Amino acid sequence: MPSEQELASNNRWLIRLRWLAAGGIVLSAAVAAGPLGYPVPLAKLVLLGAAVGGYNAVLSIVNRRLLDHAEDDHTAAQRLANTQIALDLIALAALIHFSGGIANPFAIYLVFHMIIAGILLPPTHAYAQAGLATVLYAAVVFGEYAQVLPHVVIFTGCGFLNALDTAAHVAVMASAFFIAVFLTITVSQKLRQREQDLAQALERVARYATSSDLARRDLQRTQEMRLQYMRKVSHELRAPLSSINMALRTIRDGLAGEVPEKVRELTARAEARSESLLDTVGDLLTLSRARQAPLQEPFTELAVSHLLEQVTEALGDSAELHGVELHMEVAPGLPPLSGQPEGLRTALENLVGNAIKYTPAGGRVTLSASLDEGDRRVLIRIADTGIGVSPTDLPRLFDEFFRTEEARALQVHGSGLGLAIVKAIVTAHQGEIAVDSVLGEGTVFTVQLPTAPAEGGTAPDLAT
Amino acid sequence: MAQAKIMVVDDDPDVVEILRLVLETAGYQVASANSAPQGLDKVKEFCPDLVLLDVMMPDGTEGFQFVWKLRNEFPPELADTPIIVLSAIHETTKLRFYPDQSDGTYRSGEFLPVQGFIDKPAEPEMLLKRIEQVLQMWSK
Repeated sequence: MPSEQELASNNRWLIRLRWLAAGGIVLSAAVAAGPLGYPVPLAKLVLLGAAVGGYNAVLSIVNRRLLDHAEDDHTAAQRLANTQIALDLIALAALIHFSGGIANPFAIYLVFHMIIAGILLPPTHAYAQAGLATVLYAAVVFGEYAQVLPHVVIFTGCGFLNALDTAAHVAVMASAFFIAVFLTITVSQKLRQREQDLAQALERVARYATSSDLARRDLQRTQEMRLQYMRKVSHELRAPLSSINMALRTIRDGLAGEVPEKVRELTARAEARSESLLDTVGDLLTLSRARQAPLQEPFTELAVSHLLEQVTEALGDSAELHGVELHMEVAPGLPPLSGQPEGLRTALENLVGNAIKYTPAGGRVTLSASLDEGDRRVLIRIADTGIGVSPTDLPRLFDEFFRTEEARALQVHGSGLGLAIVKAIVTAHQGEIAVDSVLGEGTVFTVQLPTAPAEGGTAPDLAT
Repeated sequence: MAQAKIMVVDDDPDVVEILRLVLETAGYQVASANSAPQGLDKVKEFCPDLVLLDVMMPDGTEGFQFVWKLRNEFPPELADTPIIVLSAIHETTKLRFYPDQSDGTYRSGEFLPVQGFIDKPAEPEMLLKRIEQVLQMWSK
């Protein structure tokens, strides 16, 4: 069954076509009677064309009123479609009669109306229209055969053969009408079914989209809860640890009274261990936060030079303390980065801090930034002249809690989480990190970070 | 300034005890409270020259409440008492309390009207130095 809208638009379409048909009748009658010289009754045919135009005007008004009323009056629209087709069948029957009856090949035009009925009407109505067409056609040809109606002879020598021939003619036409209706109904039903399937599929897709949206929100909530849990645990661990640490410092400093040397030494060791434990707890929290960084806060535009200056400033004292020279080199005109300032600072501070930590006094740490022209990424390099990493250890360097033997041998504290944190932050920024090292000579970390999208016309970063 | 009065507000009794030890050894007069309401009460009797305050996270924001109430609901001579916040909060939250405008991450409205921050665990010597600095600045 066609929908209300489909019916209305098809009604309108049919009315438009009929204007052409009315003109066509008049024109072809004129051509047939004039140049072609068929003995057709021109006046009657012109009148018929006018009649078709006339009822079409009425239909047009009715249809417009129907559309204006906008109420979903399905039966009214259907009635209009039925009326149109029936009127056309009658008009066409009259046309056939006036222009030669059985000899007129225009009879085949009745099939068009069967197709239209098959599209527009419910099957029973369409078959009824086929019945009407058959009856009208039979009435014309049998009427003329029985000489109840006058027969217009257009082909000389081609009259009625006999009653059987006429009946056969009518039967063939009738079968054409019914087959046309049947085929059209079948095809349009299939098309409608497919349309419905498509609509349902679209609806299902929309539903899936909503449910995946909900799932994403759930995931985000879970992540937030996990982070909250990590904060809580970290606080629960840090609070007692820091009070242990403060107590030990107080004892060590003799603020709680005179301390024998041996006790002071042990206290200092205990204090160092509690401090490294505090660092580990802090690093664990940083790591968990870095892994969820994309969910935390939006990225902002960052000037590379500013970022590197902050890092150099923060670690200048430490470098000095270690007797390591800390250098910064920023290529001019770098485009800004897109990222979380805090995160990127943490990552770079970890890398530079490591470089300082694992570089013997007199060594040199260089923090530099340049532009990878190829794919518009900023390259930040942290190069040191430190203890280096053996080739076998390189692949495990970013693993959690992994520390190389050489690093352990130095007896400097480290949680083994620093590089895992760096990797998590860089990954969250859609960046990449690579490491290259020669044992005993030094290490170079290269961080590749995507630049902020150029839209918005941001000025390039001017190194200050 | 050695006779200055310092009030410690912290919900961890061990921390209170350690700070008391450190501060008294350094010659300060010390009072303590283990909650913000108790601290606010004691401020009235003790009239400290400086408050060492823990923000007492993460279960509450008592420390913030303390700062807010002291600054807004107390008579001027008490409301302006310098406060040093002692906390590991930088590590656990992204909150920043001071307008460090040179910092790229600075956004106005994120700071607390206090005179200093010390990360826990605090080195006693460093703590004493900071206290002395703040007291000197405030006595001017």
